[in-house]
Amino acid sequence: MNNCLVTLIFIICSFGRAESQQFYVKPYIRYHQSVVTQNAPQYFTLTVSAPYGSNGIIDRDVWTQINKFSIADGMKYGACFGYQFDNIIGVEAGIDYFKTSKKIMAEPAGYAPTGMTQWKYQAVQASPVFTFKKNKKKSSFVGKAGIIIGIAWLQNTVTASNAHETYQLNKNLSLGYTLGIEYDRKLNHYLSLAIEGGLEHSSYTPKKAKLTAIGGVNQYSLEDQKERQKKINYVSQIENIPVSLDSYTNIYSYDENKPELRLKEAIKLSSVYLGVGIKYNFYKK
Amino acid sequence: MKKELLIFLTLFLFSALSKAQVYLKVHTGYSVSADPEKLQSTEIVNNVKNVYQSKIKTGEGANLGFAAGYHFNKNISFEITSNTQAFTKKKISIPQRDVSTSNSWSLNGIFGNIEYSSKIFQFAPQIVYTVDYHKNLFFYLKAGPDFLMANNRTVRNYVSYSFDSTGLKPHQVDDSYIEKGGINIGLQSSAGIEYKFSKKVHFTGEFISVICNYKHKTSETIKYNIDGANHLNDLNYTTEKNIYGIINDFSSWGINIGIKYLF
Repeated sequence: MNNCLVTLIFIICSFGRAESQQFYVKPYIRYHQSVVTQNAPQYFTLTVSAPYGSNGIIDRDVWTQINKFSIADGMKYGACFGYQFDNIIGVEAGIDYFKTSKKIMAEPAGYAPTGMTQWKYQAVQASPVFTFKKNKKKSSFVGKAGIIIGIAWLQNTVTASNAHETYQLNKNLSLGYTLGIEYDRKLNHYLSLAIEGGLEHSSYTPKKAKLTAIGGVNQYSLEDQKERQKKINYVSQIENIPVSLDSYTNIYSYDENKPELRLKEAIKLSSVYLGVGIKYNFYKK
Repeated sequence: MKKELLIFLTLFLFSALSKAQVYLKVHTGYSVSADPEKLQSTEIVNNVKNVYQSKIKTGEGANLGFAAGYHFNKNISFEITSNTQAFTKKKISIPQRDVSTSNSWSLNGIFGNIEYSSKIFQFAPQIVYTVDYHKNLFFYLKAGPDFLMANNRTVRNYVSYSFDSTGLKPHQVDDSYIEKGGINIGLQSSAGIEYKFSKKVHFTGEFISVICNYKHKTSETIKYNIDGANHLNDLNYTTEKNIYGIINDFSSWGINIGIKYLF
């Protein structure tokens, strides 16, 4: 009997405590606009056959240099849970999905075939932020600052001279930070309309890539490709790799039975955003 | 009638701003480069390949600055922040082998020792949103355009090669150049805490973010020595104008602390 009473009192207290807990949930969509550019990373090199001399054929690397490169534009969809410690400060933790797809032509090069590049970037990110707000009668302004931590991945395609290759770059950690401000307009006791703006900065550095599609004249099928063509490892430094030089073409060749090694390169994503959401408060405002 | 209206409007504006407050703030701190530019140097000597990666960290250094601001009310202010940086000198060393006796070799990229530094000045007019929490603690968020001016100075020591009757001959080259640009515009934003020490003095601590690409317009070579002898006059031109276009990423993030004085 005593145990039941204690349990009942505990449940009533918990319920009463839960009613006073200021939790809320907010689904949202945002549009991101890039604010800085970079030189495009060179994650792989497409090689195509080209005439050489009077009746020879030589393999030429496709030119994929892009000086003003950015893939930080796009839509983001997410939801967050928040908790208000009091009327002013709180915390919020969201999870969202960002996807962008871009086709960019490389800068023209006089002697080499110029490539069309395609970038399909996706990321799932969590954004724990600290919030502070000022309440008016039916509205409030909320300041936010926090970190971004997520997983990102990329598909990169280069097309030139009727040949194309597509590499899938591995899922890897994406870290950054976010600052923003939100305007909440009360619709009823539980619902608010949230309009927000801010900036985000994060980066993605892949460690591996895998060939997933290949096509064009004089190209072998995907299954017939050597290990060096099928896999790429991105490392911080490349040391003591044996190579051999073809004295006729002046081209270096490598061990075809090992994955290609290239230096790590990061994609930077700096953007400003504008978004809208609906906030549902689990407490009566 | 027009004169009375003007007096009325002036008095009205000043009465609305009667609780406004001017302040000055000095700050210091440190910012790190958000996205260092990576340089790749490839050497293939006697059929062995090495690839080195170096990072150029522009926008990184100790922050020194001051700000002037105007509180419209308890929550909204306007502030102009100015900033320069010290301790921006960085060194890179990329191993450079002597290839004069090698059977086959290929060098692509930058080798040797490189020392670079930036003189920067930036100012940012920003809107500040402040919320007071308890009696002496405030949280704030501010953002605005960042106007950045930067001069980069680079000093290089490396080995260059020439061919003569004896074969490949190495030469020690020491050169130095300055890159300049005009004003470039980016974005500056901060989130911080303010502690009211007294009625006039507040202490501040903030996380600051600068996002800015910087395009240099000119590059001028100021030193070019080969094996210790000055060869600057042998260069066809020492200043390249209007064709340069090299872009550095001056994006950075860091922590600043400051003292604010309210009038």
